[in-house]
Amino acid sequence: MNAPAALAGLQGPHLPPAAAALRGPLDPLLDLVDFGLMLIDAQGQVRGLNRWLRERLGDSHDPTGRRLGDVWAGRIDPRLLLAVRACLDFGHSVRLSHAFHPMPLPLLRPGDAASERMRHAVDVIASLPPGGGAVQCLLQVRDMSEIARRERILKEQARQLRIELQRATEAQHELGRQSLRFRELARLAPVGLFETDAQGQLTYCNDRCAQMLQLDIGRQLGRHWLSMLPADEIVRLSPVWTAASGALVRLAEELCLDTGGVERWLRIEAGPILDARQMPSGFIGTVTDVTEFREHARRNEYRANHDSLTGLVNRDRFAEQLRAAIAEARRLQRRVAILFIDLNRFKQINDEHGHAAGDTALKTAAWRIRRCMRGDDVVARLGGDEFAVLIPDAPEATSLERILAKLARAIAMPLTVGSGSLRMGCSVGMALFPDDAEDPALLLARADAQMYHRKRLARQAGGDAARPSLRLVDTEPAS
Amino acid sequence: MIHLDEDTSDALAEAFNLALGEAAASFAEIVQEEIVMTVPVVELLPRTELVSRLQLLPREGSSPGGKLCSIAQRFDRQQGGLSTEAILLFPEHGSLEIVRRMLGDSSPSAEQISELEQDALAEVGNIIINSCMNSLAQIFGTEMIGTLPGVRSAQPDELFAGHPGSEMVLMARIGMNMLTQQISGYVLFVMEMSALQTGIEQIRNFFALDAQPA
Repeated sequence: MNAPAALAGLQGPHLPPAAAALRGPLDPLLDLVDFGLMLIDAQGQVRGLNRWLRERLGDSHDPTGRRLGDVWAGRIDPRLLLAVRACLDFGHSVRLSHAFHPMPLPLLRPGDAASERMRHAVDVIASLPPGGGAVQCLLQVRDMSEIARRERILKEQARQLRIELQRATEAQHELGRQSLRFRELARLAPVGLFETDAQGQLTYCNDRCAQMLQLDIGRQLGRHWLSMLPADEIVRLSPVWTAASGALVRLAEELCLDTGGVERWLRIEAGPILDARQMPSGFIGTVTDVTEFREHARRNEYRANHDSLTGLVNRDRFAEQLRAAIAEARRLQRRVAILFIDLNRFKQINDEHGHAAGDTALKTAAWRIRRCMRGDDVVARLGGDEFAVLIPDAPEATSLERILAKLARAIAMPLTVGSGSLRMGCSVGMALFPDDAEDPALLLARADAQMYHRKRLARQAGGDAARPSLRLVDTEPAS
Repeated sequence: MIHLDEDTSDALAEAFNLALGEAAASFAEIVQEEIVMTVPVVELLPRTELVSRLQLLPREGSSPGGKLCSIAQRFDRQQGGLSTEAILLFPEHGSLEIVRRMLGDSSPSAEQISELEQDALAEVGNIIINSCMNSLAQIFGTEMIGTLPGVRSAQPDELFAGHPGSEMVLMARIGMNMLTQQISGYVLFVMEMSALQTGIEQIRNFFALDAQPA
C-alpha cells in the first residue's frame, strides 16, 4: 500500500491539521509536505509513509507492513516503541522532544554522510480510523537540525554575552570601589583637592580645601573654581588661568590669605584631565598650605647667608654681593670701596675672659660697625675676628678716611663684659674698585694687605694697634 | 453543586499517586536522575476559585506575580459524551529550571524559553498528564483519546479566557523534587458540568462509594 492511500483512511476529531487534510484528492499532497508522516495500524504495523520520510530512511528496508522494532531493531529509540505502544493501547498522543531524544529513528538528511544521523523530533499521535475501530498511530517527524544548530549558536552567543556582562559588572564594581577609595582618600587627604568640569565649574571640593579657603562647599559647587579665591586674587589669576587652561598646561601659583589676622600662604595647582581624544574633560586641582614651608625656606636661606653669632652676612654672601656691586659699578662707572677690619688682640679676650666675653666682643663690634655704615652698605663677618664692609657707591677719599676713623673710634669704645669693662681696638684696611683692583677676590686681598700694613705701622708707632688693644679699664665695680 | 467528598478525593489521590510514580520513573530513565513526586492532593473547584489559587502559586517558588507555564492536552472518550482538557501548571521559572537541569544545561537561565526547551517541557507535561489520564481512564472505564500537548506561558487569569465560567475543575496538586530543585505544580482536569457529573459518578462507582455525592 502506498503512503497516501494508507493515510487516506485517517479521520476523526483529533487529527493534526496536516493529517486531517489527508483524504482522497489531497493524497498526492502528502508527498509535498516538509515533514515526515508514518501511519501505524492498531496491530503496530506500518501502513505507509510519505516521500519526505522515505527519502530520509536512506537504504533502510521499506517498513511497510512490518513493525518498527522488527525493521530497525537496535537502531530505534526504545522510548519511541513505548510511545507507539501507549498510543495504540491507551489512545495517548506522545511528544518525544528532540532535547531528550535527539535521533529516535535512523534518519539521514539527503546529501549528508551515512554516518551522520539527522536530528529530528517525533510526535506520536493517536487517531481513530474512519468508520470506527481501534486506535491508529500517526508519527509526525520534524527535522530539528537547523533549529538545534541555531540554538547552539544562540546558547554560545548567550554564554559570550554572560561572560562580557560579568566582566562589565566586575569592572563596574571595581570602578565603584575605586571611586569610594578616591572619595575616602580625598576626604582624609592633608591637602585641599578640587575638581571642575571642562568649563572650570567646581564639581567637587574636599573638606580640607573648603577649610583652607574658608568656603561653604554647598554654595560653591557649580560656580567657577576661581571664585573660591579672594577678589584681588581672582583679578590676578584670571588671565593666568585662561592662558594655562587654553594651552592645557598646569597652573601653579602661590597666594597669601589673611585668615583672621594670620597670614597663610597657599599654593594652588590645577591641571587638565584629558580624555581618550586628549581633550580636557575637566580639571583637577590641589591647594597646599605652604606657610611653614616658606618660613622654613626663609630661615634656611638666612642661615646659609648669615653669620649666626652676629647676624651679619657671611663670607660667601659677601662675595656674591661684592661681585654684584662691582658689576653695577662697572655699568654706572662708580667706585666700590672694601674695608677689611680686624679686631686687635681678640684672642686675648677669649683667653683671659672666656669665650662668652669673646662672643660679646664680636657681637658688639658687629653692631658698632653696622651703626657706622649707611643702609646700603654691606657689613659681613668673614670669620674669626675679621669683618668686611662693602660700600657700593664709594664717596671721596676724605669721606672714606672719616668713615675709617669713625669705625676705629666706635670699636674702641669701652665694652661691658660681666661686671667690668674692656676696651678693644681694630685695624682697618681699604681697597677701591677700580683704583686698586677690578677682581673681587683681588680687591679683598688688597684691603686685607692694607689692614696688616696699618696694623704693623700702628705697632711700630706704639699706638693703639700696637699696645695691648684690650685693656681692663675698670676691673672693680664703681662704688 | 457537585462536591467531591473526602473518601472520593482520597481515592483519586491514591490513583493519581500510582500514576505519577510511573511518570517519575519515566523521567528518571530519560534524565538519569531521581525525580520524586509528592502524593497529590485532589480537590474539585469552580474555575474562579482555581484562578485565585493559581495567583498564589508563583509566590511559592518564584517571583510574585510571575507567569505560569501551562502544558495542555485534550482527551475525548472514543464513544463521545465525556471529554476533558488536562492542564499541567508550573511556575514558569521553576519549570524552566527543571527542564534545563534535565537537559544538563548548567548555564544561568535565560528569561525566554527556547524552542527546544519548550518541546522538552511539552514532553515532561505529556508524561505526567498521560500518566494521570491512565488512572482516570481506568476509573471511567473507557479509553480517552488524547491530543499532543500544547505549551504556553500566561498569567493565571489569562489561562482560562476561552473557557465558559460554569466549568468545574478537578485539581490534583503535585510537588516535583529533583536534587536542588523543588517546585509545586497542579494537574487540572477541566470539564463541562454534564461531563463532570458523569465523571464523578464513574469515580464513585469505581471506588464502590455511595452513588450520590455527600
